[in-house]
Amino acid sequence: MRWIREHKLISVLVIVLLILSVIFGVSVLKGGGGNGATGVVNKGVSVISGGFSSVTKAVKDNVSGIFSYKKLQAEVERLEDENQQLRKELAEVGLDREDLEQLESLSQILNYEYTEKKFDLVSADISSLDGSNWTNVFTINRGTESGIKAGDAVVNGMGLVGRVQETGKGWSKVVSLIDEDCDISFKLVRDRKQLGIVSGSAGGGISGYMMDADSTVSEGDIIVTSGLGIYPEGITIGNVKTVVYNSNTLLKEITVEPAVNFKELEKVAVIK
Amino acid sequence: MRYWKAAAAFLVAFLIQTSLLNIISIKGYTPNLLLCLVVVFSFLYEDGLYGIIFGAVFGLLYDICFSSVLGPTALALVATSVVILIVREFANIENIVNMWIVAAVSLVIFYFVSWGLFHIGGNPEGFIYVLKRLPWTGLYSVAVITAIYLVLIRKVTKHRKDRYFR
Repeated sequence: MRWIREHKLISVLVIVLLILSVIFGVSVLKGGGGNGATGVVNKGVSVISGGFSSVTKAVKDNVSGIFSYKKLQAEVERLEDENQQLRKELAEVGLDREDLEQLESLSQILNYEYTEKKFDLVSADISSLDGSNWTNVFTINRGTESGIKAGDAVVNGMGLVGRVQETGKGWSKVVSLIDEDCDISFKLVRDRKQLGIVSGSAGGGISGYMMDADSTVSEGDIIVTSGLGIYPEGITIGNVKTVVYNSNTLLKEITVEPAVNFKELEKVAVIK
Repeated sequence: MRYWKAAAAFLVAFLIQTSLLNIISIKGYTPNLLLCLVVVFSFLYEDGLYGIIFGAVFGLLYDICFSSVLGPTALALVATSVVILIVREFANIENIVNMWIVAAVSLVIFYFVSWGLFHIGGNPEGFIYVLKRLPWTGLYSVAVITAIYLVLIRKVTKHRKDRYFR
């Protein structure tokens, strides 16, 4: 005890390092996640940060609107053009609808049962997010009270964001898909028979390979989840950036540009 | 400085880090306020416990909220604090250039240690990717460190420009 009193700094340092090492070791062995205590902390931080964030967002939106008038004007013009284009496409879809109705009546005659998969979505705001780190883990303001559970897929308007790692009442911790070394099965939008596997890469993006060496995958192809594994089918992952044939593994390796900008997320939806 | 004041400073920094700081982010990058406080407190105060204790506690809180595994940020903050305490023995704390050098070295140490631990925890990103993201966060952090340093150095060393004082 006397030695500890005389060497306070070293003693405290050793104790702190021991405690943190044990916590880190247990957490790694458990594969992340926490317990009741971490849930209380997350709930508290989520409530406080959520309040701050809503104020911050309101101020930021108003202030940035004043300084980016020209940018907003250009955005309005772009959206007007897009609106016109979509109106044209809608008119064409109207024609296709007649074909669809004919098919539906035909399926009723033939007693064909079609079960459409629908996602049950819970929309949520990001209550706390940190921009100083390279990882993209954040907290949202919905949790178990909305039926969210660990492992649920998280998306936004652009595509797949990640999965819920931990959840509690009023909060959920989300880990982005580029921050995990787990495999995601995908298929090409152009040809849904061509399957592959991707995962987070060392370069902060997504990389993987095609299952079939004769795949016709090319740069710019859009990839979506295949439905195998934890992620539901048909969620956009991103665009194929590069395709390289690896003569050692005899596989076509690809790198993918994620559809989602992880640093500028504001709203997400959880697929239950 | 009293411990409760230091704890309050860390708590405020932690809450700002998670919410208000995003208002001044550029392309999503913000300074790391917890690291800034650990660097300045460890460099300025002879009692090295500030950086170690509060770095561990608030680093762990940070990990609970923003990390896929618990502990990497806390351990990295403690490691950074220890390195600064060693450097402090040989550096003149009143010279702001020394503060900048220590800040730059601390940033690299912090991100290297935390990257290593996150990597063990299953994070796939490489250190080169982390370094690519470091300049913006680094510049921001050094600016904040400088501001905190200029405020606190007046309290740590009274009349520091008066050479007769020492």
